[in-house]
Amino acid sequence: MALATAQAPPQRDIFRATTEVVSISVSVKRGNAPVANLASGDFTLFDNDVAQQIEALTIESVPLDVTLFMDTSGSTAGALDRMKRNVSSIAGMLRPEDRFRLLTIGLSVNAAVPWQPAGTPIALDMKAVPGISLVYDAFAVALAHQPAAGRRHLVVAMTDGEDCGSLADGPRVLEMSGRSEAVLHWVYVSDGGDAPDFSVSAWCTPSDGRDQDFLATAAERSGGAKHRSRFGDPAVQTFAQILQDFRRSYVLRYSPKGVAPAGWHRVRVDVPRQPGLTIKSRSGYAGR
Amino acid sequence: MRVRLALLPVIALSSLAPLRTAPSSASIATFITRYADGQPDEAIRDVAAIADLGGLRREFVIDAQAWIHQDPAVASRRRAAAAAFLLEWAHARLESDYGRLSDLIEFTCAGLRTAGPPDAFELAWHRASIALASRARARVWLLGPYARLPHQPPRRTAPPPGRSDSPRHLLHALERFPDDPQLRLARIVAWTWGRDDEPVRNSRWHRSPFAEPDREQAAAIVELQPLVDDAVVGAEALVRIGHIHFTLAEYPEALSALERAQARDAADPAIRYLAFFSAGRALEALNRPEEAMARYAKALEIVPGAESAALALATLQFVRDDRDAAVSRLDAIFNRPAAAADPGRLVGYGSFLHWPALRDAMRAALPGRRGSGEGGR
Repeated sequence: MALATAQAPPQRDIFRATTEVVSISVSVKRGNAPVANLASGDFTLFDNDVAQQIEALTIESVPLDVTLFMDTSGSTAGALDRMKRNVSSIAGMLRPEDRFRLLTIGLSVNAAVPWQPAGTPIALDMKAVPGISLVYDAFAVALAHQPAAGRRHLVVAMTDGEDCGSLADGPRVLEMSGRSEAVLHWVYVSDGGDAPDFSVSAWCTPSDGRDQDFLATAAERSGGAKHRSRFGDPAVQTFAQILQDFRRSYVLRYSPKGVAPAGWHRVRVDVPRQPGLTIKSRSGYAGR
Repeated sequence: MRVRLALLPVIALSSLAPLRTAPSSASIATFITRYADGQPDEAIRDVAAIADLGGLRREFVIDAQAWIHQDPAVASRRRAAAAAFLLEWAHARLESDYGRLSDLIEFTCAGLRTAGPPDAFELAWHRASIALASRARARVWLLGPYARLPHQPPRRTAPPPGRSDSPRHLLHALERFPDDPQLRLARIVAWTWGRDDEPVRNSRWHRSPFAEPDREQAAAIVELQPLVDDAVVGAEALVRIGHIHFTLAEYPEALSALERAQARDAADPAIRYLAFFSAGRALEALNRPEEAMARYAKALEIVPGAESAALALATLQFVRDDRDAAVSRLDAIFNRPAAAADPGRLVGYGSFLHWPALRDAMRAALPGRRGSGEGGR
């Protein structure tokens, strides 16, 4: 994209939801096609219903921190080989200036690949661990990352969402998504098969969807979304689409005025002169 | 609960098989001999690397038993070596093949129980075997269906047909060592599995947010109370009482029990850790976050690098806008290789929490350890 305002953002351009500067990732599409060439004057932004002055708009050139979470619990154990191939394919899509990490779960949340520059060879040590499924804790760890100045954080979680044994509960994950700078995408994958017949017993069963879907809500709140896919080529394609859209999304920055700093700030973004667009952004942030 | 293979067919297979007198070079008896002769880690590593368990299972039932009985002078030592080897092998394959090896464990249990009076090795072996089953939360395998606690009246009606074929492994152990506090504690903890809702609270299928916790588990507190004053398991009994109260949403009572556990200053760091870590969770539930964070920090002093307390503390800091501290704590934990076993993650798996110590005790109790293979090679 040619609209980048700067190839190397200065250090003071901190994309953080602080009371000084707030950054909002905004995806603008017409149908499935990202809409390019928008300028800051094309947007309106309301913080708790108070119109704000957009101070800067950035796109494309920003390097990314990408957290990939692969659910290696018993419920997806049948897809382990495909998962491993997916990790390599996904890491290979990133640019040299990006950073990558892989989270997995077993008897704890593991950084199977700690933060490293994209392109660094990956030594994978993934195994399926049945009888526990720390999905919510993995989301919490992913969301708690704080990217360095001038970077953005994309979290893509590939899981069936079935949690068992986490310390974090749904409300905690939801609250963290509102306070995190990350854009979270949950790729629902359910074709992993069962744990091996003779493994230790699992004590989680499939969802009947009765209760609130905290993970999907957390993704929506962060400006991301819930997707459905399958491990293997479909998962790679889903990630590629998420990455492409994320790179083409705009980052709007503003200093909130006319609103109390503390508490939840509901954010609404629009492109008023172009009707019919699909606009996705963080639904808000927690002020301090 | 999975008990995939019945015990009786295994025993039948053994009794009908011809007794071979010498193991082949790659046989299970060779692995056992290496295990007993000072190379336990290497023997377990090599046997665990064999993907196909079918042949090994058959060898354990047939060839290894022949090898054990080949020389009566060393039979008891070999029996013990084979039994200990089996548990470590099962541990190495625990997360993929426990169900293929649990029947061999009960088969071995029968051999130990019928070989003579109870001894120190058998006790150590039983404790270790129960720890493995605890990782699988194999309640029915350990206690049988419809198990009752000692103070509860027996069921008035017999279990339905087909539900009574559990080996009741833990009860076998208690028959041999009825006063052992660790086995008594294990029985109570195992009884709570399936009733301890808290570990599955995030499963959307689980129950409506308005549902009441399963109060049946409170019966375990009655049984745990007499163990509270025990010198060995007293502190853990208090931790377990605290956990039951926690899962019943009785947070003040949970905190009280866990603070009593803290005061015991248990020798086992895992129990000391749990006394503080779990108190932190109770305090969070009581909306006392500052005190909760202090307990998490104390737990991290006891087991530095423990992921559970680090995560609990960091997420609390994050939502309280101490974001820099939260991120730096998590970066410190997750940007390095995973730490050793975390008590906060293992507490739901009974005595598996103590597996390394139980394994070492079992090894130490092996009779004539370095000489057990003599005469068999």
